[in-house]
Amino acid sequence: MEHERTLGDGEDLVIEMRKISKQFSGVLANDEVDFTLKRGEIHALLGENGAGKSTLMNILYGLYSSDGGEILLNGEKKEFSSPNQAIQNRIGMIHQHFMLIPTLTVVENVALGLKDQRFYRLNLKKVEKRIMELSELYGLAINPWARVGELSVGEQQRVEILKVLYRDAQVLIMDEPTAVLTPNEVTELFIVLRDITKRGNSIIFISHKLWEVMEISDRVTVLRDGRRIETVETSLTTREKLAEMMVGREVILQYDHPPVRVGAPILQLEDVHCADDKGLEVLRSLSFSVCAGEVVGIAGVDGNGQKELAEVVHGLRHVDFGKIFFNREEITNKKPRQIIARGLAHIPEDRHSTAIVMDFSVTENLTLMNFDSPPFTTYGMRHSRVCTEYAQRMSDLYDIRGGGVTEEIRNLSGGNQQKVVIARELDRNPDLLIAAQPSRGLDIGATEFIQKQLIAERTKGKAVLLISTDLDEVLAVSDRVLIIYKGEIMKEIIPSQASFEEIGLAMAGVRD
Amino acid sequence: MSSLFDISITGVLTATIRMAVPLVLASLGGVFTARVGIINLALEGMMLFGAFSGFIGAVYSGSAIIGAVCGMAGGALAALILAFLSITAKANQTVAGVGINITALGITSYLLSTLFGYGNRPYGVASFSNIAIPVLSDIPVIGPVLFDHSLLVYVTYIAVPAVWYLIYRTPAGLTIRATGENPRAVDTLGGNVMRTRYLCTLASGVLAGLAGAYLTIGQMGQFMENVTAGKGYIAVAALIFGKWKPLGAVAASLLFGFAEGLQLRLQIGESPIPFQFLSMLPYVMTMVALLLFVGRAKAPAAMGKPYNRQD
Amino acid sequence: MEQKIRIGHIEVVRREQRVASLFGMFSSLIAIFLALVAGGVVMAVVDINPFTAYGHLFAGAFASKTGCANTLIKTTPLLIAGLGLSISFRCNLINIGAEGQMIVGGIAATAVALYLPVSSPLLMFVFIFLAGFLAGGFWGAVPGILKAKFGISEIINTIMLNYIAIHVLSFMLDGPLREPDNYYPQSAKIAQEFWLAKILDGTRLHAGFLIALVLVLFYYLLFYRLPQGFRIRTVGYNPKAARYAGMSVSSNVVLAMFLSGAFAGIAGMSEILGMHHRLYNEFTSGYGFDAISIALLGKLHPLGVVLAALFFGALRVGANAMQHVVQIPIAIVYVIQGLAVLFILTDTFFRTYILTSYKRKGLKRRKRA
Repeated sequence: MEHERTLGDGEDLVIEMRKISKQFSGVLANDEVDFTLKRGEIHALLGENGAGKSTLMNILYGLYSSDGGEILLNGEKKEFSSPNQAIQNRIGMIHQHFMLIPTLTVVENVALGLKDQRFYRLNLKKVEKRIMELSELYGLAINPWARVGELSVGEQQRVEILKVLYRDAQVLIMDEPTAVLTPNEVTELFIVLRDITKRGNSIIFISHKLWEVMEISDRVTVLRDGRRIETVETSLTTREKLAEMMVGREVILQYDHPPVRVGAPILQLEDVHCADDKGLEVLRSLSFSVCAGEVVGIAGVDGNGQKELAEVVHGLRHVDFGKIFFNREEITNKKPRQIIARGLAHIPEDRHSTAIVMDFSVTENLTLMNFDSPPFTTYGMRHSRVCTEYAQRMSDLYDIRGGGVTEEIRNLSGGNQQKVVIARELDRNPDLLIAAQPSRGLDIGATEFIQKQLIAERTKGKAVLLISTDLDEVLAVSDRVLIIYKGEIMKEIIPSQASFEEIGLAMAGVRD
Repeated sequence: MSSLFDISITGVLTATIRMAVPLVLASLGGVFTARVGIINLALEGMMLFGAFSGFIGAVYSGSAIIGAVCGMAGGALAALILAFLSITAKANQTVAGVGINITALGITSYLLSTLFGYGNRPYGVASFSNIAIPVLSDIPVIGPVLFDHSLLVYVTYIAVPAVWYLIYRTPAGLTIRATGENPRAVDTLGGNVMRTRYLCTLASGVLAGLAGAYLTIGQMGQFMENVTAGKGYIAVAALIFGKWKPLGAVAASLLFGFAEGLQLRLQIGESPIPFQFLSMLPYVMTMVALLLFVGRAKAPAAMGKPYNRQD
Repeated sequence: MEQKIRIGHIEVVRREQRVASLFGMFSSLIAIFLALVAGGVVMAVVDINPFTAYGHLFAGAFASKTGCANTLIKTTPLLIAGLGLSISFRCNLINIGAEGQMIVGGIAATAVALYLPVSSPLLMFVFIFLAGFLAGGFWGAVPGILKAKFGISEIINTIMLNYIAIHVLSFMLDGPLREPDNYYPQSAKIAQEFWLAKILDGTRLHAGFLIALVLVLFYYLLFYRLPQGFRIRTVGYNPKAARYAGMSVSSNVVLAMFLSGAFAGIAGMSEILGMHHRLYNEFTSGYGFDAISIALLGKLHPLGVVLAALFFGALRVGANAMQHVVQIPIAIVYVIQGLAVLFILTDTFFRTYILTSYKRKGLKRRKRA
């Protein structure tokens, strides 16, 4: 072996990444990052969105090629130019967005790309047998003949884990595995992960959540702005220290809520029922109200009807039963146009696909909601100069960067695209603002900016409905928090008066 | 009276098979591209290329079999253009298909005029003749309808189960089906999305090319400008109607073939309906079929989306 | 995130964008040039000097007053139908049905011109225009409605409606609209006072060309000044965002398809009333199919569509002259058209390709520095 083991003091290193760099169109996603993984450990990779965690792991997995640096596997220099090579070297990756095919069965999903099959016959029985063995060994109960699209998110994750175990991985890379799970499922997952490491495998656990890193990992490597800040033993550090390393400064976790007189109810839902895209009932008997001068937070695990809730209020989804009132007027199943005209602003969850038109300029996107009213359109004619001037003002006000206002919005960074949506929605001076996952994908600075804006709107006397799966965000911003589970409100709490445990139980569907 | 009725039934069904074969082959080709997530409107152009090159092959070799091979090669050539445009250049696949069809029409007409001028286009070149399969062709009704056809028809009979088996019963088929749904999943498991898509597009070109060759040398042995006359588009409709599945596409093709066969038969006989309305029948039926059956099945999820690893 | 862009790169990103937009402007010209080169190679293979051939083509299309007029005559239907298709393409609807929409526009215009008991030419013109407009619009709106209400591919339906229109035309000329006692299946001749006026002495150039220019202005207003055009574009680019912004996706889809078909209907009307003065089979001579390439090569821009239509019109006229002199089949024109469309499709690919190599060079330069 010509390579010396420079790191780890003779410890058993499975993976050693040295000075890895990667650049995407002018942005350094990884800047000479070092990373090591010991046999049998769970090593957390901690950092904000965009810190370079996924890029680093995609390089390890052969999906991206690095611009510099080297990778050692069991002390031997390796270069993976495709996932195929990574798999052959017993590295497996479970992506944040599951790499599953919903129309196929569990067995078929596992069998995809297997090398031990004869080319002329797909032997699913053989795959099923091994799945059952693994499922027993690791306690991953699954029906191998179920269609993946019909499984719950937790079960789908089990399929992903089985896919990796089936390929005999000694290293599992898990990218934000808990993002979509209920607290119960997280607990189960952690048990499985510990079981996996007991058998000599190692796990890289990518996350931006401090508490779970503290709970599950043996060591933590913190990344910030594409650079490695530090690698520490988990037992020798604290949440606060990790947070500071991650953000680079002290983090404000509390906001001032200036006193304000809570006014009349702006939005009221009464016993609302609706179905999701598959036709399954996803909101059941949902009732609550939001008043002028308050932020009402909707907390819950992803996929419990949050997206649909925003859609029914906006008129984008049909209400099957129940009533919705806006400023005391009924708006149930009215057209989006009529509801917007009454004073609704909405920062939707999937902004890229819903709230902006990628092929339009910044100007066109900023005027998307009111291009046909004065001053942008008068006497039936659109005035592009007026639009541009307005966009220029908004760009200055909200610090929208990345080319001028005539630039196609697709050429802006995600954070700046987000600012376009926020600027547009707030400037329309709405009575009700719905903000769904407003800080998803943003760094701490941008997150603070938007959270302060939400509170400012409330202080101005507007009604704000904040829908978020990030419990820290909901608790920091809201005046009242409603916990949603399977389309129903389980519990209402006041942020300063509730414990994490209490909320966790309600999020898992446990009633008092 | 009743025997006359029998003959016309047999006649219509035999015509159905004859008219359905090119649709079956082309829509099977469409299954390959659809299953890897490529919109293939170029079936029309592939068929036209196949019809022309099959004809040319038969003219110069004097052999129908060599002609058929040339037809497949012609279809594959058109497929290569589609593959490059939609997989490598990541262009709009619908427009690419239409562009290929325009080009195919231009090139085949141009070459036809250049090679043969206007007066002396070859007619009755080497083509496939009917082979009655012993015993089977003697079965009443079914015999003449199914087992007294040219070699290309029997090839089609084999192609249908073969394509089905490949797609549903082999590891390659699993990769194909997965590519059309979630190419990234295939990529992360070490599959080669680009290669799978290229090969399937070529396969669709080979099948559509054979379908085209059937139109020129399958029976008559002549080539006319725009000989496909929208059959490729009808094959696309059959594919949608058949829910992007091999057997579904075949069933839909048989239905459209039946409409064609029926209108041809009716035109021969004395019919009170103006012949133009009979000629419209396959096209109207395509629209009605789409109206009645659309929306009950979902297209492969990655349809029309080029794959880019670093997105 | 912007704070991770090192300052040194921003200048490079800007310059890349400039290269990209320059490339975008010229890509149609490059595509046409490449197609002409490819056509030239095809000619050279059969021993025809491409320069001589293109010389005759150009001379035929532009060297004489008649040539120019003929070019404009062919440009007229191509331009009108091309603009129409551009409307639907802007709404992301691939309308392949201009040919059929032209045909029904022509049928309706002929029927009105022959049988509507109106004597005032001006009033008659209004009715004829409306007939072409509405018939073509209806033929376009049907697949539009099927798309908007049931999500059925407009591509297949517009193609099917082309074939149906061809058979409807044939039926009309066999029965209802056939001139009695005529050996050929064609309609009676339309009274001369209803014809579109000639606008250039000694040529057959007719007022249809002026109608085309007015429609260019309409198209410009629609997409650059009127809110409705903004709606159509929004629906085309992102129907989800359109719904979110309170627009009706289905009514914009139907409207775009209606207008698209109506333009083609006007093109059919203009052909009958300006050129043929009677209805016969295949009177559209494939203009509706050429219009697809024109919209694409013109990049849906009003000026671009005008230039593309002019180019195709000139090709058609010049190809006749070229065929006459150098014995090259007219079909070469379709080869050139088809290739131009295929080349234009590769422009994004080559743009990124050029940019990547440009970027790589830039990186190397910086590393050396």
